[in-house]
Amino acid sequence: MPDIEFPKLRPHPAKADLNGSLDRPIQEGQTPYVELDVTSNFTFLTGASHPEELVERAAVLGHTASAIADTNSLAGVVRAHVSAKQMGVRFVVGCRIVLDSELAVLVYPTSKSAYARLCRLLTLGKRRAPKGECHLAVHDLVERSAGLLAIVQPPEIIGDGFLEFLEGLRGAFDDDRLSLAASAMYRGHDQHRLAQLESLAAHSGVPMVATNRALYHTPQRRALQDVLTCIRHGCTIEQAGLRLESHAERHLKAGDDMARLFARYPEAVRRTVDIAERALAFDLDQLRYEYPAAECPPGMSAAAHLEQEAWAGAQRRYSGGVPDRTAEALRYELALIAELKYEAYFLTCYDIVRFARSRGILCQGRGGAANSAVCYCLGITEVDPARFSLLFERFISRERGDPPDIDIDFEHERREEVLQYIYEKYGRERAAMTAEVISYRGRSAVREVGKAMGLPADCVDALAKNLDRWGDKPTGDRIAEIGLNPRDPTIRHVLELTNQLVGFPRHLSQHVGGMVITQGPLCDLVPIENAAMEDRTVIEWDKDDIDAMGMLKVDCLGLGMLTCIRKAFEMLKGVGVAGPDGGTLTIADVMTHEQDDDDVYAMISRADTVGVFQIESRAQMSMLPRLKPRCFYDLVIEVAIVRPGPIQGGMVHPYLRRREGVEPVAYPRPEVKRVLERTLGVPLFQEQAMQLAIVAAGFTPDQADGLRRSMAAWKRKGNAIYRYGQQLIDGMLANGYEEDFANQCFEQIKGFSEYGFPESHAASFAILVYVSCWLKHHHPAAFAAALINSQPMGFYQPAQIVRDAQDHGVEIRPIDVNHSHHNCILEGNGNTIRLGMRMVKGLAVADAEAIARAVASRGLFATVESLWRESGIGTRALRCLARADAFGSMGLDRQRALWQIKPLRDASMPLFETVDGTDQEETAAGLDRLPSIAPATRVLQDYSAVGLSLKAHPVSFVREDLAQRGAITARDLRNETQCPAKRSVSVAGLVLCRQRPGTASGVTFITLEDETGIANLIIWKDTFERYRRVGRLARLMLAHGTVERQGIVVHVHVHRLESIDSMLSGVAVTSRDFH
Amino acid sequence: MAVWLPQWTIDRRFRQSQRGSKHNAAREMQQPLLVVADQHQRQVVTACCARSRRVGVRAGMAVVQARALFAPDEAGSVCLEPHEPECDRVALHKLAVWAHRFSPVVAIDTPTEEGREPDGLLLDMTGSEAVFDGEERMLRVVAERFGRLRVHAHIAVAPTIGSAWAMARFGSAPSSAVRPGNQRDAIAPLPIAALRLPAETTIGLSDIGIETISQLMDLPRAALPARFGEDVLLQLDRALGHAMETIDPIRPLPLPMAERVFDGPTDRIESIEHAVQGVLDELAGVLRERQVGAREVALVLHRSDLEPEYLEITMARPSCDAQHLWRLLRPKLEHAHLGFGVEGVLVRADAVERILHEQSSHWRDTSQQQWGSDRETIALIDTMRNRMGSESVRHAVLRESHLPERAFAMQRELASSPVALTPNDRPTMLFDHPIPIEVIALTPDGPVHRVRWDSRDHVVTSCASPERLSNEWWQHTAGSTRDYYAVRIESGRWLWLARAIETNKWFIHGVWA
Repeated sequence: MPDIEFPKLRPHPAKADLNGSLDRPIQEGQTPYVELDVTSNFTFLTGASHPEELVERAAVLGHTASAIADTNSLAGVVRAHVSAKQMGVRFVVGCRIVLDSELAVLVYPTSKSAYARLCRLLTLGKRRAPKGECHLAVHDLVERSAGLLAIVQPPEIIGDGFLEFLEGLRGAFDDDRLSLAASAMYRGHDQHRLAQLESLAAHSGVPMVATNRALYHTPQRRALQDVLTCIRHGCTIEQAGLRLESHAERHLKAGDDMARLFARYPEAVRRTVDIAERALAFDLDQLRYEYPAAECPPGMSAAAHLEQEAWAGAQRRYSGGVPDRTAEALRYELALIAELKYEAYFLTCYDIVRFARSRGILCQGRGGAANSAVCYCLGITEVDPARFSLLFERFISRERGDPPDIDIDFEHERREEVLQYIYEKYGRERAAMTAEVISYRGRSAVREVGKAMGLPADCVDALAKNLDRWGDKPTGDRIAEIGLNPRDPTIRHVLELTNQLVGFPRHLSQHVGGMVITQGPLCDLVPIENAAMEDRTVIEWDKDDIDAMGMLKVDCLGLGMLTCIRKAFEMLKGVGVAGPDGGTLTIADVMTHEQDDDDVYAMISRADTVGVFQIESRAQMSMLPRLKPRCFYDLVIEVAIVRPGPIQGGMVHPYLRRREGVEPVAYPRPEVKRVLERTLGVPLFQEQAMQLAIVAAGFTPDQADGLRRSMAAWKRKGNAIYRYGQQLIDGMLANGYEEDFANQCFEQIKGFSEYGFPESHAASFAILVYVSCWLKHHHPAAFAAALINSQPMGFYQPAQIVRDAQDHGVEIRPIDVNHSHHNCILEGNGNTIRLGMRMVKGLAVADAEAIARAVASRGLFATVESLWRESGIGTRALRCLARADAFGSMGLDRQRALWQIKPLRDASMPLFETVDGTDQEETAAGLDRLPSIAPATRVLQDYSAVGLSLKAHPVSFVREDLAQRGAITARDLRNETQCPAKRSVSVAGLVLCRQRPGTASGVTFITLEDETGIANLIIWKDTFERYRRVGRLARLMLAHGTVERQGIVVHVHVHRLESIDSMLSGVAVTSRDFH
Repeated sequence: MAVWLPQWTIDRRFRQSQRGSKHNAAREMQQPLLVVADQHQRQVVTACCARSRRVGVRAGMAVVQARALFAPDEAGSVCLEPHEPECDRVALHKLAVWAHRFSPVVAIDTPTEEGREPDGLLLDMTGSEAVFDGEERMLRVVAERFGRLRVHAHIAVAPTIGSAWAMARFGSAPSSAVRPGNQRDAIAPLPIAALRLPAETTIGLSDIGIETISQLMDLPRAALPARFGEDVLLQLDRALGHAMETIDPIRPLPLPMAERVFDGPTDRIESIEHAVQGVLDELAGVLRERQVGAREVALVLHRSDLEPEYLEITMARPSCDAQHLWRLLRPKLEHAHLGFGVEGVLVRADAVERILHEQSSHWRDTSQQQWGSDRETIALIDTMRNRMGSESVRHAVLRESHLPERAFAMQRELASSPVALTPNDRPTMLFDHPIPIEVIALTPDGPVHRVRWDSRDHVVTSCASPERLSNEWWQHTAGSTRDYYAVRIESGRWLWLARAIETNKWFIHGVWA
């Protein structure tokens, strides 16, 4: 199960539903003024206000327009643009270009082409600099100056160099488009400075313009700005000295205030408005994003091409003729796509998927648009629309003009090939990754603020560790609890500033898979920079910005299970299991020919799902025996139901009760039955909530979409969902529903909050669940081997995968230099796995492959020395292999193999050196006289070198002692007659994992493993605190508690924990980093 | 004899805290102590007290992880101290000097492994048993003495250094003795690590199952060097006494001192002065030899039938100049109470510091000169401090701050101040406290026209635009934003006026003199 996403602390203005209202009244009758030099917090660690705050403040102050000019960046302009539109303010796009000479020029585009030049300029500067920097010379700017208005910022000390610079720029921009910035900064010589600038303006013919060099929207942000300065310089506030501003004047000021400061220069104030008016000729809304035209056969339009491909696909999919329902859906969707001109987008996804298929890369689409009939017919997804009724409108919304959303999952090891294909096909100018704005969260913010405020490292640590746990309001008691004084003014400052800093962007990173592709050059729309990763380029806008700008992106994500499935299919082909056409099996083959296999569902219902996709976690496994999936749609539900959304919305238990037949399934109206029938009357998916709103409360599809968006954000901005909620309830009452039912529906919808799972995603995931379960049931060896070969992924370590395979009758053979490859392989009839050398810790892939090659060409090796000479690998690699006990076929155990390897020397010439006779005797003598090693120690050494042991389980060595102390085995624990509920028991085992999920209010889950299986512990918070040391440190644990049973799910509710690490170390002296 | 100090760095800190320096002595009982160092951008525990060990803290753990092991009410009181290997080493050296009471030959046991700090002593006890009345009693006495220092120590006596070392660290008892000829049996059951081998070798041996010394001794000797290097046999032979090993003893350095004893008590100040000058010369010689200078010197007058009289002087910089010391001591000596006569005088340098060799150059480069580094100034400062008290001379250093009153600091040490950036023009004379004045200005933040100061009205002839300075908010002191104006009055004098924005009150904060 993927990690729960931490809610974004500050929603994008486009999603925030601000209703365009201002909190404060607008100050009217002010001198007309526009603050043109505004630095937002997208100039990282400098600006101390969000773009939205700056725009709103400018509106309140009655400025003629608002503007943002971040340093070498346009990352904040979309947010500012959107909130300006919401608040009814005009917005000026600007940018502060800081040149290599450290002189700064503010520029404002006056047309679409000038904006494109600005983007290109920034792209140029960023692409040739390391990530996060921008290298530009004057001539770069001059060459792209057409249509840009510029304001030059004079340096502190104005020298001859600056005069030359100014005159040079005047040549490019002429006096009409160029201005000289003048600021009254309360520095003690402001009037001198202004007089000096005025004479400079007169002398050079470049007129003066007033700015206040704003860093924040109100003076209250001064402290935060000081702290940001400290963070930027890596110093404390005490050390910062003159790097800080001396006052709080760098905020947005009202026009009258500016007029007073520039009383002698009214023209300079007026010029701000002139510049803004000219710059306002350009507006971000003028950007026309165009999706790249698809390559179509000559003479054919994209729409016709898509239609042709879709119908052809439909014929392939449905050998017995296209069902009416699907045909109808196809026609409807194709018409809608054509109307909204999204053909090219679908064709692009089709193209990417076809590319992946041609390279044998498994992939699968998901998302609402992906689960359309069109996508099914194009082969983008395997979810048959004939079996689902999905809302196509959800993702293609006619009125709002929202772009469709298709996520495509690829094998995680090969996703890069797909990305590079896209870069290659469209070029760096037309394709780039979406940015992800990494923001300060409580923990990171308090760390930086605490450090800047000079708190000792351990206080900062304690605060950081506890802040998330406290939620948004750290109370005095809680601070006292961790040993800090809540009344200490520094602590209070730290907390207050942390609160302000949370949600500030910290840096731009790349989005996991979002690719933006354009018809024209992308760098005309947005600056592109280098990513931290080689061969990647990223735009400056994140996915919300892109959505707001109406740009399309394709999400190309990596998924480990696809890698595993492909590898299993390939292995099966090697042992003669192939698809119906004789080729390698495909997901489609399994879904068409092997669907609804009762044995597979029986296995799932037993929660026998170690290693399969999605339903392998402990929470899922405890749900499976209650849900007892019997058909594919049950899997869709299973995937969606064990999520925080449904759990917190209280939908899980009603659903289970209805499914178990304890509670009757009833619907108030037949149309509701149609919506909720498949989930027994309980809304489990976002789509159902929307459909319900449409059929029962008379929402339009677009209102339903608004409801969905507000569901995603109600915890942050609560009012929108209540507005929709009222509308929902009113609508249902008007349509004759009972109030109770209406309220109940609304409560359930609210429950989705952040983590509701759309049916369209669940359906695509369920396919992989089914395929992986089918593999596990019918081909356990291939499945386990593929799973190990795809590590790291999933929930389980190779040790558990291997053990599970053994439980399913698979023979596992140990790693051996003469038999193993790098990867695990199938041997014999296909039900035997030979573990691969990839599991040997510290062994390089190249060495493993060199050995396999040497064995393939020379046959089996009889001695360590001959292997060393023939394969050419180093003694370090040999030692790794020896520690992994991989010389069994030479009759050498770990100890003896190491004894043989020890005298070998890499540096000498192996071919000419002979081991002299006396040493051979000594070696032989040594072999006999090596001390014998206890079996338990050998097992622990296996664990340390390979992560598992095929010899025995470590716990088996202390079983007698454990039995004396009353501990039973995991197998006995599962046996209901032996261990009825409420009985007190003791169990012991290796600690496999410790979890403390956020949803479980401090309960810790520990999984123990012994030689018979696993035992699940539940430990309440106070018990865990009492046995903290054991709970956190013990690797071998003895737990005392009572049995809890729910069907076949067994837990031990722990009262007491003991560490029994010492039992094993008594057996073996070395337990060096085993595990 | 080998002494192992398993938690030296912790013991040292507790000892220091007991001496009541900055640390709170009671803390030892109440607060768990962790010694931490930064490793790879995270804080790691390098040592911990017995109490922390009880809850499961171990060296090498991340601090975050270690903290989590304490109960919540305890976690807040966990005391973190920085890893200071240098201090540990210096203190260990002192301990070694102290240990000379047991044997004239004492060495610091330097670990073979790189990166590990010394944590033991080696004492050559040859012939010392007799002094202690037998080996057994000797062990007991030594153990008891370390116990009194509250330093945890494991002690072993053995015929070879190697076997003593092995027994101290890996023997089962905190103190043990190995009889001559018995070392083989004594060390055989001990783990390989007891042989003082590089970690790599120990791991290599344990890989093939060799965990104890006896298992190692079972292997064919000739096969070992090719596999594990020459060290294995050498260290084994040393422990068994087949190979020689010597230790590198340290020599105790007594405090530099000089003493003169008179034939009989005298109260003739001239002869006492003469004697003191003599011992100071001698002391200066000792100091010069060690290339150190004294920061504190005590003169002890042994008086007949009275307790000794102590006279102490301190120096701003380390000095080995007898003349200088004499000039400082002399006024004190004049006031000293001689009682019935002085039988002898002793001078002792209680605190010494290394003297940095300063190259004497022909042309003195004044720009490079730190203030107060020339001899005359130092002599003056020392004289004033020793006569008027150590607080009498302070040194002003620049600090970076926009606020004029915080832009400098007074300190006792004669530190060279890094050249701080200076903010805008500041008056040449700044008043300790701004003086309220009356001012006439046409607009609240406009130029100043008249000032009433020093009971006189002044017409302002020139006024610069204001410099706005806000309070340093992190200082938690109440204060307001001020606008400073440099104004010139008729007399031509420039004044520095300030207006508190919130209260609209005017002050004068300095003048250009």
